[in-house]
Amino acid sequence: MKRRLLLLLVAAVFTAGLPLAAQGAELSTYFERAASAEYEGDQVLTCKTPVGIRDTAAVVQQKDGVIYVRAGVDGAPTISAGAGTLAAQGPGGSASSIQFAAATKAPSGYTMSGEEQVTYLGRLADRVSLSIGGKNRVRLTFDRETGALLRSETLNADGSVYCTSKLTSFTAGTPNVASGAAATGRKVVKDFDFSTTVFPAKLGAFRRLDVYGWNDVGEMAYYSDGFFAFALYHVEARFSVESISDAREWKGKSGTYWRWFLPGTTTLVWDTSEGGMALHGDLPVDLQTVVLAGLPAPSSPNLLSRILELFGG
Amino acid sequence: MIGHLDEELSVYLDGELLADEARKVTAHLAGCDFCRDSLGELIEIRARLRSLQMMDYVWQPSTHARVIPLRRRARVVAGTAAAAVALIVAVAALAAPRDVVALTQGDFSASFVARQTLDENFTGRVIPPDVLSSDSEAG
Repeated sequence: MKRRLLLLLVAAVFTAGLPLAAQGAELSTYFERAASAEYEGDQVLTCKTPVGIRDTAAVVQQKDGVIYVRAGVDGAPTISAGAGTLAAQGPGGSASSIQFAAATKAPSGYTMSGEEQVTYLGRLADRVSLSIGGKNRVRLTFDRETGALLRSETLNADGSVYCTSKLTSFTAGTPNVASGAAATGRKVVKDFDFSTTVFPAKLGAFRRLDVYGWNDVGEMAYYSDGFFAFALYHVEARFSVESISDAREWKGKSGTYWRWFLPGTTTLVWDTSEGGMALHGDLPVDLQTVVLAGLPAPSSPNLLSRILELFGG
Repeated sequence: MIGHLDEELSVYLDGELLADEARKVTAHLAGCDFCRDSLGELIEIRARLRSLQMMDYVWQPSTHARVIPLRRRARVVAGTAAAAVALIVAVAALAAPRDVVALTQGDFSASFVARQTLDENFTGRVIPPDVLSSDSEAG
């Protein structure tokens, strides 16, 4: 009897020490557990971009499958989002956070290429690597006890870290979330009458998922490879980046673009023979290059236009 | 030969027609008063040209230089005018500056984040602070 108990105890300790995947869990199990976790903490996002570090912080709470994110600065405007709507609220607004459903599905197209037991914030955790096209692109760290996603890292093609999103404090348990008002404001509305020639169906590993009317001036197509995502914008006009102080000229393989980085996202803007185009998304830099190669190249305004603009025309 | 001679007269005077063609022109001139008059005008114009005083600079006349009959000249003028109009229209179209869409960072981020939060595999990476700016107008 004692021997049986001892064996069960050893087996339980051994099993608990293994990552979920080693226990037969699939990637989807991690995501399902993460979606049902309840906690709150401070989250920091840091990205190493070609023009320097870009970082930001927020307060994160998760309850009932919904993630609430709010800026950590008192009095700062906050936003709410969900179900395809995003709205900004001033300090006196009723909504106090951005909220959206926690991920419930593992990224399609990615495979789990490694798992290991780690300790993070003094807690036992499982770190899994996701790969696509033979390259590790993502590392996710899940809390063993609650299943919460504690840390996510996106990787460049050479395996170096591009962005890290991590909780720097963590309190397990049901958080006391502010009751936000129903999100109103900007809505993404599907546009079924769009030009498929401007938005390719596939760009590298990215598939065009849907297309929307955009700000009454153009169209936006949304692409994803299952984890990373970006939006392409097209207007039959020229974009002006004058109001964006961080925008810098950048010479790509196909020509010159305007480019700027923010924590977690990059935006590229350029003129083409088919109008103004922009790309905005969370891609590492090498994936941006892959995507740009499949799009119309930058084309400068014709000589006469330049002369006219030179003289204020 | 049907109708009246036109360019052939100039080439005929230049002696550039083949023998067979020259014989046909000569035969036509014999029976066509209009064409004989045209030929006479051409000869007269060329004579006047030759009498003009030479300028100081050296001018090398083309061996293919021809005097163009009035009727043909009218066609050339009309064609040139049409081409000029087409050119002006094309230049205006090319030179017209494109409309400019001035956008803020929030215009890109707001629509992107709104769509991204619909993804079932969006892991909730921190929302960039730019969408927290006042550029993202509430509805």
